[in-house]
Amino acid sequence: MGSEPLRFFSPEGHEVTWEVEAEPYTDPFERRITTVVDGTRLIERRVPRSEGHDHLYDLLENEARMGARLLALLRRGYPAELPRLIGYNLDVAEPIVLWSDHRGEPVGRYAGRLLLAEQRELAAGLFRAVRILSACGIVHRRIEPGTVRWDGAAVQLTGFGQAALVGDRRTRLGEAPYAAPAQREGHGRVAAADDLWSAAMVVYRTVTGREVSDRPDLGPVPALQPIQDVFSADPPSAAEVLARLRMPDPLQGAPVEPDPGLAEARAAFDRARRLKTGGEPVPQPVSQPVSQPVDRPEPAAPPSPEPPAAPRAWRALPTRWWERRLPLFAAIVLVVLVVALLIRVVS
Amino acid sequence: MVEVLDLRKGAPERLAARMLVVADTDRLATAQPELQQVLGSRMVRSVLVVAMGPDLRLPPALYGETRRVLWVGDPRGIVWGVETGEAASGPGASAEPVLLDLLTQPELFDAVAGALREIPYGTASPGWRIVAGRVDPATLAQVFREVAEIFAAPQQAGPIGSGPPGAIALPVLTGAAELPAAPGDALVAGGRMEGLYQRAAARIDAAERALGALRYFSPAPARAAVLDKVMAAGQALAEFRDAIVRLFQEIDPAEEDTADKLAGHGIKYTVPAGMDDREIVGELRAEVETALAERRSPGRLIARLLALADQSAPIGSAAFILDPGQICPDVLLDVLHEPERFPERPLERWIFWRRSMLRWRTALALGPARVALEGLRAKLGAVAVSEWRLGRARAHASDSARTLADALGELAERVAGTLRRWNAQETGLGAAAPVLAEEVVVRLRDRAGRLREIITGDLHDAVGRWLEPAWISLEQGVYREVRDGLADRVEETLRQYRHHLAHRGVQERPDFATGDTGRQDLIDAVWRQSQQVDRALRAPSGGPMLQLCGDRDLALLLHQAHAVRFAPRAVRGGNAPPGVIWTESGQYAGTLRLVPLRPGAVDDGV
Repeated sequence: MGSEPLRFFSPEGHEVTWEVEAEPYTDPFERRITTVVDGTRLIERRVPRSEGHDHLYDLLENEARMGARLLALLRRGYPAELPRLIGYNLDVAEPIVLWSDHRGEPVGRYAGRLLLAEQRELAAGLFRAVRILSACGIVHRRIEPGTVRWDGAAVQLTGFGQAALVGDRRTRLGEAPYAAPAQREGHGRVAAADDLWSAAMVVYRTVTGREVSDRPDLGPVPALQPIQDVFSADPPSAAEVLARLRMPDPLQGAPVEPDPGLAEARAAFDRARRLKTGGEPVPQPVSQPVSQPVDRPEPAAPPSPEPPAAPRAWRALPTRWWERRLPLFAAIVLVVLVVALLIRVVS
Repeated sequence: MVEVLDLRKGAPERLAARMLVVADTDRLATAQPELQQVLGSRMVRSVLVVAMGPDLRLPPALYGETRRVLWVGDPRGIVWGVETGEAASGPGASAEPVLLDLLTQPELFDAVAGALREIPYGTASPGWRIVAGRVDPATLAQVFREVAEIFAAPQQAGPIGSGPPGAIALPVLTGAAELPAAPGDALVAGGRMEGLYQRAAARIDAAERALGALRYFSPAPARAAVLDKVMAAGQALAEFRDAIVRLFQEIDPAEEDTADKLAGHGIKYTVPAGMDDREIVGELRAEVETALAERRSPGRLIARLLALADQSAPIGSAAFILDPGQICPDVLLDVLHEPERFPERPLERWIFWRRSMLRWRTALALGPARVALEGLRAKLGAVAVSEWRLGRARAHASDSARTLADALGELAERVAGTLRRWNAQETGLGAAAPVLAEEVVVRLRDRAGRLREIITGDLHDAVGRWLEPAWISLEQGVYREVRDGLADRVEETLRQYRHHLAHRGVQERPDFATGDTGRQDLIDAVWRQSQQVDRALRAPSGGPMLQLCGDRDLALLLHQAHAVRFAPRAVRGGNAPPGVIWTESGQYAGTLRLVPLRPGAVDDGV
């Protein structure tokens, strides 16, 4: 395994070159690399030239975008449950995104095998991750046993390719039981509850080891009582679930806050992206849940292979009530004017 | 144990008390140094030499009468009657593997060596009439495949049931039964919670007494005093309720300081009798061992253990946090906090005093307050038992059951994988040796179902053996140690079992097995009812048998015969002839004939 130079941009937008040693690609989209200087292990995600379809590039760019957003908002105490974006290089034939190393193994292999303390830590870690994401205005949309990792003590949520912002228009994504029904159907707006459903389903599957096709029966599993209403029509928030698990809200001491220092770099990133996509206007999210505005100039519509996402230029802006009734008002005014005119003529 | 030294392959590597030296006649003639090494060793107690090929010539080490030599002139053999001298062609296949298989059985080795002692110069030509009891490879492959399917079967969820009779802890911890003895009052006399309860009870009593003391002419201040007492009762009741809610929220048996916290609140934290770690693991062990003895499939057992794990997991008192509010609702506390005044209008005060009094009594809600108080205490007691006092026991039962399910899953997976590999190996093998009668082989083939039952049973017993070290780890609560060394234990046992099946046969019980279910039936049906086995055991030593020599070698044999009769020890009993040697190996039964050589037939330097 010889060393090779790796050129990329840091999340702050600085060009960086590191000498790294790379393991072979066991997965065409991912390999592990190690920096020569200090032996830090990273994950390099890429779109191979041979696989280069637009939607795959979009997914990779979305990963970089979400990673940068998390970094910007979680500067104080980046949570262990989420991988950290190290850098990206998207303007090359084989674009890459660099993440901190994976932790543990996909949680699917622990199904039905975790002890009570581990079950609790898994649930707490996963709902903490969902809570933090939702506070950052991000919905992962692909929480399932393959993207949740467990190292025997802590959780890590990976795979942000399909993530979207809260309030974006939902596109169909995922299958039962892990994808929430609304997400499967592609109705409405992306909401944190989508992730809550998926996280609860992963917890159910991992704790019980049982497969389900849709809503599970939590009756025989009293230990899952804290998540029993997650699958209901009125689900709790991640913070509520954490409280039931007797876990503190991770954002209590360190609320999310934007980093103004990164704004320029991200703006540059988005300008470059606009140029690349032929100046296509990028839609705005409908709502922004973070109290302070997060400098995300234009969130990408979450790419999805099925069905094709709506054209990016289209984005329904909220219409006020009087805008919807405007034709009616105009007709009434017209009628009144006509009647008044007639009365005047007759009199 | 018989050590084989095949001089055709090399020099001796290991010596043992019983040495079977195999050589062709040419090599034997020059094997003086090797034989001297073997015969001169103090480790060697008995040496049997098998010389293969024509023209037997012995090295000086084998001169004299103490030698024990079997001469196999032609391993394909010839059918020959010692008494009649009549001969016929044999089956044409080499009998060497079967002969060596026979002589490596310690009982037969000793019997043959003993018989050669009676024969002049200790040299004889072997012959036999034997029956093979080996399961043919196709049948064995099929059985391995079927047993693999049993072990690889998916988990089958079923009703949780109540476990083996006599179980106390598991039914209680899973909520299927109540504690056998009343757990006693959860509140410590004089403790904080007991104090809050008593104060609320006393204030309700005082309010009721004050209300009961009101008379027709009681003045307004007396009625106002009742209101004060009702409000005080409501305040005490609210304090008791809120203290319970805070306790439910605060106490987590998984935390180290639970006992101290509960003691501080005046709640008992003793584990009820019969619920300690050892007793819980004991019941789980009985559960697992019963299931294994009943030959329940691992999939069913795993599902049962996972259900136990789910059902016994503690919910935590926080799950009951809304209950106090339902038992003692805010509406009730509001009524107590702002009690309705006695109607002071003259008509109601003086004319309908009695009716007004009854209505006021109802409106003051002291009865519901008392019911709520007792309900809160009962709820506190129930949660204290189920979630706090039994909390650790429930967690231990849950974690132990889940750990066992996990270990069983791994065992089942490994067994299934190994059996599939054996299936592939057997599928590639040919049929049994044609030099032997095959009636037993056919009978075994016809009883593949019984074979499956026996092998499945053996492997269930092996699972029980593999789990032995797990029980101590579980009792000590070191769950992750249960899997330590498990893979190696499984690997070693399965390797031994494979050897056992190949060399001792399915009718012999392996060391790890505890039961003989089906084995005795198989032995009866296959061996004891076999005509061929009976005939082979009773074959006259002078009658026609396969003599392991060539046609021309017959002239070198005397018309005498010594017989060694043998059969697997598993078929001992029945109507076997006297003097039968019972072997550990379950592969062969019959008569081994030793025919002495004519004087001068052997070139032994004499």
